[in-house]
Amino acid sequence: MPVMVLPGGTMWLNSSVGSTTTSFINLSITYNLATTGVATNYWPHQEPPDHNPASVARAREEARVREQQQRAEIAERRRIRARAGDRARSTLLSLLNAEQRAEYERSEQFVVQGSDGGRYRIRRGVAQNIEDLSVPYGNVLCAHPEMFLPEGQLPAEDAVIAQLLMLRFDEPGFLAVANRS
Amino acid sequence: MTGMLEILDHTGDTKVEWNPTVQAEVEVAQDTFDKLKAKGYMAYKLDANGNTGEVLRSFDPNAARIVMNPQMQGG
Repeated sequence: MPVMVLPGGTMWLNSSVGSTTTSFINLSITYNLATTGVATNYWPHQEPPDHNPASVARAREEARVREQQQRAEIAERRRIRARAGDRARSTLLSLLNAEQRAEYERSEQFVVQGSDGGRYRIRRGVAQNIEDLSVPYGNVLCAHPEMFLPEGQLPAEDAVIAQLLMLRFDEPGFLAVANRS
Repeated sequence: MTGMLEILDHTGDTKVEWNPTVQAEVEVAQDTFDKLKAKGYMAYKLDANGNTGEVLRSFDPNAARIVMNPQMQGG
C-alpha cells in the first residue's frame, strides 16, 4: 500500500515499494518542509495545535460542559419516552377486554379474534410479534405502523394498538400488508 | 356526550375532544382527522369501551371514540 492515513490525518508514503525494507515518509512534513522550510506535522489547511495552558484548560472546560449538556438531553429524552410508553400502555389496556387485559398484564401478550374469524397472539413489540394461531405451528406475521415519525418514535404499545385494531376490524387488510415467516 | 379523537404518536397519544353540538369543536376535530387521513393514517370508530367498532373512512361527528394510527407496513 503506497499511502497510509493514520487517525488525525497524517499521511505516510511508503517509499520502499519494490525494495526489501520498509520505510515511510510523512507527507505533511515533506510538503511543509518543501514549501515553507519548516517541518510541521500538519497540512497547510489545518490549524496548528495550541499548547497554551490557558487554552487547553478552556477547551477541557468547554468539553466538560458539552458532555454535561449531552447527558442531560439523553436523560430528558429517556423521561419523555418513558412517559409516552406509560400513556400508550394505558390506551392499549383500555382497548382490551378483561381477559386480554389480565393476560397482557401477566405476560405482555394476548389473543385477538380477527374480523374474518382468524385467531392471533400479539406479543408486546413491533416486528414479528404476531402469531397466527389458526395455522399449525403458527406462522409469525410482521406488520406495524410507521414507527419513526418526524416528531419522534412511536412507543411499542402503539404498534400493538395498531395491530390489534387492524386485525379486529380489517383482518384481510392486515394479511394483505403483513409479511409471513 | 363528547367525542374523543385519539392519535397514536411519539407522546403515546394525543387527544382531541369535541362536543357534537358545538360546530367549532366539530370543525377542529374534522380538520385534524382529514389532515391525518391525507397523510395515510388509518382510523377506527369505536364505542366508548373500545370493544365494537369499524374502519372509518370519513369523520363521524357522532362517534364516541376514534383512534388513528400511522399507515401500516409490512416488516
